[in-house]
Amino acid sequence: MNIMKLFLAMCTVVLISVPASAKYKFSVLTQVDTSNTFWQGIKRGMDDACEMLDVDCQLVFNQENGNLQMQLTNLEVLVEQGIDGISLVIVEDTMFDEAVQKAIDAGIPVITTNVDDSEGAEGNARLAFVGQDLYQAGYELAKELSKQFPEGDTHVLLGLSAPGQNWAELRIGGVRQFMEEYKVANPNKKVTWDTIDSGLDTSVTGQRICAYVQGHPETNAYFDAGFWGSGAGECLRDLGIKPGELLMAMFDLVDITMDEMDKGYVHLTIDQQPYLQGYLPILQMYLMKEFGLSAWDVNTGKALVFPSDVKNIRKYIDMGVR
Amino acid sequence: MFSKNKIKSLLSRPEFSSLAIFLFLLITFTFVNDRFLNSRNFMVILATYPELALVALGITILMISGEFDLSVGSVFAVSPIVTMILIVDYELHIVIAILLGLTAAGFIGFINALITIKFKIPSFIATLGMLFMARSIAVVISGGFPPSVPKDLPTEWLVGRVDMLRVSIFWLIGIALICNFVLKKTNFGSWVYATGENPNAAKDLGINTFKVKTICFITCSVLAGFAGIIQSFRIKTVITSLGAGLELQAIASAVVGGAALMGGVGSAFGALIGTFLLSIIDNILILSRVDGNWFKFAVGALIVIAVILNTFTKNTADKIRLKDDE
Repeated sequence: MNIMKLFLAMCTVVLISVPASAKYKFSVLTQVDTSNTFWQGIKRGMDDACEMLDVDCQLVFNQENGNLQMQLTNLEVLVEQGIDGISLVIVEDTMFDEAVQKAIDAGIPVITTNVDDSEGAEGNARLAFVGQDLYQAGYELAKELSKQFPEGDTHVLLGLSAPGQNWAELRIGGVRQFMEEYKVANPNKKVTWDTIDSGLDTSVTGQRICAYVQGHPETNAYFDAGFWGSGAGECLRDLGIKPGELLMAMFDLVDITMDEMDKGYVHLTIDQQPYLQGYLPILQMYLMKEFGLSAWDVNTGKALVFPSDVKNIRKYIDMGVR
Repeated sequence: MFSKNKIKSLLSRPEFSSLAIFLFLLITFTFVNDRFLNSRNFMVILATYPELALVALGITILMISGEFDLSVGSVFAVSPIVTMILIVDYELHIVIAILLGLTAAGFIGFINALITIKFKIPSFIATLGMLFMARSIAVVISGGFPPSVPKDLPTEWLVGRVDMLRVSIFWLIGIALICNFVLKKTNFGSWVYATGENPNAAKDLGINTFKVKTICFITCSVLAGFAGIIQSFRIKTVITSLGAGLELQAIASAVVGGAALMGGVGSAFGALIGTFLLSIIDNILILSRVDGNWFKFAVGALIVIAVILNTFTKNTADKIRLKDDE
């Protein structure tokens, strides 16, 4: 009896939490689980857009981080339910092709966010992409940091946070592309690089970077496919490495990255503006449904952030919008 | 006869094979890479070691009692998030906040015990559920953005530097010695082994196995929570993904350190050795410039080798006993 009451109470809570007046229902699908800090920024953008437009939105996290089949199943369920619009991440080039085509055929607009099919519109039927050009961002990151490379030989460590996942491969691929060009452009310098599986945990990544650097003191710079490399600051200080002795560049704006920029251990990061990646797909889908407008691509990730920018940006990070 | 018994006793120790692999790698790699056996490298390894070893220690104690905990990675995040919210939002004293953070961890351990024992659900399933629930709690209570660690927070007594070491290593040594004493020298320790080896026989002997297992579950969670607090203080940040995937690493450390999945076997020393071995392997792969795509393969292969060797040494020890009996 008590269990029945509890069940009814839970159903009531669920029912009253769904806005009855919402004209449209949109869903955002990701491959990560709820613990991903970066995605909380996307969620904030989505929530704000949905509140402003008075639409019913749901961000569908995966129960298991990186389980693409789980994400695909969620997508197929939503398409069957006849949802009004879908925004999703595509980190694998072929797996989502059929389901996205089915959604488009059913008149459901689909916009990719954060990570797109590596072939873009040619590889998938999605209508637009709101996010960072990952390969280009990696290239720009390396190009900008190379301006600070010291005279003489250059040895660089590349942190491939998640081998096999296209966001990490593309970003580090962009860095590698620049390093190839840098090598050709500097024939008198010995330019070398190594790639490690740097991991997806701040502490683990930090330890791996420090272990590598102490074992290979000729290392001049480190590039991370995400933000986890910021975790190296503590152990670099333990090793007596002074700010600037190892140049570090990474992606995204999180607290620890800002702190390490203040301390002089992170020299560059690229903000892909996750808030916009949550906000703009909802806005676009609303405009498509309401006024028949078409979707458009948005590159959200060109913002290079230097240590001198931290002071101005920090207040927006505290607000959860950058 | 004396030397045979001595060899048998040595081989019977659950941590023997991991210790042997550890010494082998230590000696081999010292010759291969001149930057391996130096104080700077060990300073890097030892900075994170206490955090991993505390979780492995808790898992080992629980595994000895015949149970399992997959939720330690999530508890590793919940405890520091609760602690930091209490410090920043409620302005509680750091020690009180830590104690309440550990209480939250202990409560999760208690729930794990209750679900596992009272509802007779395998701990693998019960704690798998808790893995998701606790991670979700970590995100919900922090709203996705846990508060920043205040720059002036007095954390030296927990993670400060003493020359090349972190204070956290001394906390680990102290806790490991206490755990070892409890497991080896007290009645409760005997009850833990007896409960893990044969719970029905333990009950017949009058051991309250529910109480024993509950204490082991709570200890495991509290140690995971404490490790999470240490890590967040050390890296001076709290994120909701802290400890994600840590459960498998901790279980691997416990198993490599000689703990048996079926219960009744293991030691605090084994947990420390197992964790250190995995840390050393990780370090060696980095120093060896192993390609990123092969990294997980190498770690996995070495874990399997360690466990095979564990089984081999145990079987060898058993055979020695049989010969003695003859």
